[in-house]
Amino acid sequence: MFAYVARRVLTTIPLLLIGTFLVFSLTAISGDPLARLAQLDVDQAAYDRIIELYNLDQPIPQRYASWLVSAAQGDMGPSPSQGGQQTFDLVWERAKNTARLAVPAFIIIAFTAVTLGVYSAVKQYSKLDYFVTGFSFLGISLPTFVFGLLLQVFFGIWFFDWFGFRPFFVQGMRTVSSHGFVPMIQSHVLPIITLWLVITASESRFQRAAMLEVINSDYIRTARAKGLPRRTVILKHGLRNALIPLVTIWAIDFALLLGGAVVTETIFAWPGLGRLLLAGIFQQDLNLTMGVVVFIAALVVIFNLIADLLYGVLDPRIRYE
Amino acid sequence: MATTPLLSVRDLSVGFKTDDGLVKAVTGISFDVVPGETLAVVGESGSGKSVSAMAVMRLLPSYAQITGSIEFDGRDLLALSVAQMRKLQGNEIAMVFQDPMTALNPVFTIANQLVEGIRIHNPTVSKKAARDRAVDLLALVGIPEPRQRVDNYPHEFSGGMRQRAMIAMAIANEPKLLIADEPTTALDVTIQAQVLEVMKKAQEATGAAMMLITHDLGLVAGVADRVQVMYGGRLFETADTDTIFYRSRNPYTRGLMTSIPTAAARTDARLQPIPGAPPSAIRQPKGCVFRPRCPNAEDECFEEPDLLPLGETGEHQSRCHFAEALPELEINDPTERSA
Repeated sequence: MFAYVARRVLTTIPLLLIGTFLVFSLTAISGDPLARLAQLDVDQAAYDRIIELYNLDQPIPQRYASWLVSAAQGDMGPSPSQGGQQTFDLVWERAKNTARLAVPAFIIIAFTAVTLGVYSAVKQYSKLDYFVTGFSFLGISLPTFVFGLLLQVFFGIWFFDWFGFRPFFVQGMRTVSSHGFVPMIQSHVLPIITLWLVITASESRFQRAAMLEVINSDYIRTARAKGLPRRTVILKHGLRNALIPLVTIWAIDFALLLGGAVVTETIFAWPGLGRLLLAGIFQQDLNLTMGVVVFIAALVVIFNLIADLLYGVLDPRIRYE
Repeated sequence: MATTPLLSVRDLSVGFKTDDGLVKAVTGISFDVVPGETLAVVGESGSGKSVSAMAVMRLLPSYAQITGSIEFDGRDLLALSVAQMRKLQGNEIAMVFQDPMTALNPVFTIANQLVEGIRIHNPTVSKKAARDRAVDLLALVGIPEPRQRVDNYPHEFSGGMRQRAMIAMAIANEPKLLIADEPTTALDVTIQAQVLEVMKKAQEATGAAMMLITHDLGLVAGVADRVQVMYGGRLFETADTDTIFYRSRNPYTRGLMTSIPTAAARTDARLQPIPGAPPSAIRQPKGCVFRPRCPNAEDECFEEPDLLPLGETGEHQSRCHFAEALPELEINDPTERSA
């Protein structure tokens, strides 16, 4: 088990190297980081200082190598577009804001997706099943920005017109320390609902498919033939098996949520990782972009490893050697 | 038959509604199983043998259309509520399924799955006692080192061991009726005989009657007291085992006999398969369902024959217009078949 984890961690190193190199090169060649200086009408000395500071006179592989050396020592460098703040601090600060949405959203998603998926599989072709399937199609086909904007229009404008107040904030993040408990809740609701709809829609379909496969299997028939109550048959024998394929999907979705939802955060003006990444890309801020990318890559790697280990817990047929 | 039947099925029909029409899986079958006997139900795939067993167990999906009556130990099973039926399932009527590789839940130990079945019907039995019983059952069905193996997961068992575990599970509550749906079909030939031995032993230990569903005539000859042959969802012939093998009065049964190899047969003799394929359960042929494949078919066969008693006792029944007229059977002993 320990050897397995060690091997898995080691095998991700080349993956991370290739990934970061690709992102580094593509970001570096996708624009001129000095273009903004030109607009400011600064002298040659300032140019030279910036070029010197960010090694802009060196070829990309060499710049990547020096970035890698400092990054490996825990120094992600300063972020020029954010007033020279340390990239690591910026990413950590924003990651906490993203987690404020990601963690509750994930818990609600996991719970509702399993419930909806199991119900619609057990009651296949019932009205409830059609409703859940229809809901999934809607959630999958409705782009995030459309649904987020609809929520904003509904609660920000229509609801206000009808009732004279807004139950939820449609923009920005409020915390308990800055505004108090109720505003904190009010500001979190709409972005969480937006994340919930999109991911629950796809996860509940996965859960339905997994559960359908399981409840038509021979061992479910065996369980029924034993005279077990329906509840035991479905929840013990069925769900336990149907959760196994879901674990991977959970891991990927949770890692993506923690990595920041670019569109949702942008619509709701949420100071999270997604918007930080966007800022890094738009402002040619290589250190910042790399900082966020490495963070997201690390999340994906870690959660995939967790998923693989959970597999072994849920399915006794899987052994780690 | 003097003894009161344990299971008494009357005019049972099972249909499934599909987009292509009503699938008639079973059409008007009636039969009895008396306590302690072994009744073999024989037929090709799709002849309705498994469906009738599933109907007795009430394991068919809710969209199945079931008519007729199934009386078990004085109770009409089709009239019982789901909760009442559950008390019988795995308790008084138990089932062994065809494929042991998939019939056990892969994520629970054998102990867990055995104990669960024992305690659901005997809630007062402690976990410890149920576990001891599970170990005893595994010993009975011939699992070596049962005390250790009981904590294994199904994937740690071989196919034969899994089927033994399935049998242990089925007899855990000493059922009065054991339904075995092709219990040896998915196993290696070398293991089949052992598992069959275990089934017999389990049956003796519990005194259960057995309904053995199979298409393996060698198996039938070895264990069955009586045989009923099914074709196209209908009962074609029923009699004691010897009569079926040596004095069959039905062209379909005879067709089955001549299509199995025997050790005694001349090596240059060809097997005679039944030509054609079993009828579609949606569009069945007019008249006798076996008519299109029957070597003895005549014009009368466009009229469906009834299942009629033959001889004095009436225990031998055959569905054929020419049941009495068929020539004597050339003896072709399937018990001596080569593996």
